[in-house]
Amino acid sequence: MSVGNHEWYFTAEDERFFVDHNITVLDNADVQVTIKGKKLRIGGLSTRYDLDWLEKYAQKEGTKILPCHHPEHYKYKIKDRKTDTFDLVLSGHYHGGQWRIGNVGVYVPRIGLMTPKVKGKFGKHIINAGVSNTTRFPRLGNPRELVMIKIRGDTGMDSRFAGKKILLLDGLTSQCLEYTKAFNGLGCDSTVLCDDRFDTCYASRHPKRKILGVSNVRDLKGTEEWILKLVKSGEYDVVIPFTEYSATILSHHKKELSTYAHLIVNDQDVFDYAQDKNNVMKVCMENDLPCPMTIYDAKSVDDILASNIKFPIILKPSHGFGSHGFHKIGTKEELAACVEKFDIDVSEMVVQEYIPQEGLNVADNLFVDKEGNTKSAFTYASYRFYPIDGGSGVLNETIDRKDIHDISTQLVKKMGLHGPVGVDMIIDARDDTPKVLEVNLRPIACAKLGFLSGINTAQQIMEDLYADEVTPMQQYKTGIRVRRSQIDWMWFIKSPNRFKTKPSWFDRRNTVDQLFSWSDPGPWFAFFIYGFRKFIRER
Amino acid sequence: MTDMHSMPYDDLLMLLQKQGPDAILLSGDTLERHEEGKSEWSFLSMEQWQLLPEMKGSMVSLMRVLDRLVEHKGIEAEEEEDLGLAFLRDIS
Repeated sequence: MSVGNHEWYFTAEDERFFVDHNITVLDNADVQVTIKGKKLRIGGLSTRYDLDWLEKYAQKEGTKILPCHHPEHYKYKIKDRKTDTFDLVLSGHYHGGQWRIGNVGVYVPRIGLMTPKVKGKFGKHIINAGVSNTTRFPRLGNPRELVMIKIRGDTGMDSRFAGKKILLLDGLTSQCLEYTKAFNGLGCDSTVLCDDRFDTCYASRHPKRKILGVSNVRDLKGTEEWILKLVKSGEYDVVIPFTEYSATILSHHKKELSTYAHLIVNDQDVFDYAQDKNNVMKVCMENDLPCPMTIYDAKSVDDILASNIKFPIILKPSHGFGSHGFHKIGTKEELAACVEKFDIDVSEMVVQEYIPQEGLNVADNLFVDKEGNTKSAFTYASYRFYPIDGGSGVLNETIDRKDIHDISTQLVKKMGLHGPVGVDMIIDARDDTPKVLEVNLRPIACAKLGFLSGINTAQQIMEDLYADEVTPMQQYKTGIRVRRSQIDWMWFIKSPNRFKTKPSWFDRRNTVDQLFSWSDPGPWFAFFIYGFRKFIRER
Repeated sequence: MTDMHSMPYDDLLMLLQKQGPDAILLSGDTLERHEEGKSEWSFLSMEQWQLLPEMKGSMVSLMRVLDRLVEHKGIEAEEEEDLGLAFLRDIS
């Protein structure tokens, strides 16, 4: 809080009040604060201004904000002088001119009639019209004003990683786009490997460089060749994968490629162990971490029947993702028939109890530094899925449940995982217990939720590589929703619950589209065309 | 935000809660603390701090008349409860 012309003094009671309520009064004084991991310096110039203090403040390094009640103090005492080193100057006092025509105030108390530039943004100087009306006369053409200022990372606030060259694989994915923006915000130089002109990142304006090569699950050999070629070029400082197959390729070549760049992937032995869902279940069961009861060493149908597992059960591949190869089996007889019909190798499957689908599907997303410390974690719940019977979440919302964080933190520690890790769980509605399903060893698809809720994993990745310490980011905003609008439309068309779902399909509060933005609409349209082409091809 | 002037703030508080900002910067005139005799300052000295003579010269007298016409209501509000402090309490 800075000091204006109506605050000639503060009483001793006021001072105590400020201390008790954590209010910092900047009466010709400055402080350094950290907001979302960004360091800022804020200094308040009072009406009773102190130009000696101002000069010292102006010489300090970093991003500086100057709350300065009187616009004319900035205009006449600071602007265009050597002390004008501030990044943002925030003024008020004019009350917007009380009656305002455009930017001209009819009357500004103690300033005069027909005063120009009484409200608005003038370069780095913002003049606020004020939040109250203090006169006998109503405001005309001049509503009260609360100014929301979004300070973006690319204003040079955090220059520690400026110029670092980042290669982001899998330009098709939405998380690649979010990380591209976040790395740009850190001043990094981002290059994205795409597979198609309609890839999300290829259609975006955010990547500084786009490479059209091979990057898709249908051509793993070609993808591997492109990844090896690019990393071995030595042009990149950091390489980060966003799909299972890219992460697998990087992990399997980690020893060889680490001489060229930092690879954001776990070592091959740790990676391969954690990719096997049976191993994840084994670690959970051996350490009393809740998970569906699993027969993780069955080799045959007889092994399953010999166990005490209760039907219904599920069979799903121990490797892979999505609903591919998923079978729900109600009886012992169905089990034998299913294995025979689909020629299933039981030793390659996860065999576990079926958890009723009434509970929420949730994911906890962590960043674990190289020392093994969890530096951030946020949880989201998925409310709708497409395909309806077991696809990806199309509406996700950040939630807060300590028990979920505790389970996932213990699990990643037991498994020795590092970097960005996602732990998928389902909440068993029978006992309200979150149960582990699998881990994702890469940034999750809904990375946008993390960035929106205040967790900058891109910054943590860079700090883990180049700084002394990774900034802890344990607090995040809950109730933020991200929606994949095109797929949500498909859900609406197909789902019999279209009018019964909660939250309502029509509820758009605190909801942001996963791809669309007015400043960068290309990815949304590209994804639409990509999906339409896929639909036609499949038909 | 600026120029709260110890005025009623219910709608403002609702708006702030809805926006959920990471930080709130108050750029002056949140409270009403300008009675003469309670500090070393007076209206005249405060006008000097506000650069008024430098800026307007002979217009200052006319402005004082106009200022009286648009006098602040914040002081009246202070008589019952210091709404400025109540606001700071509620947002802290």
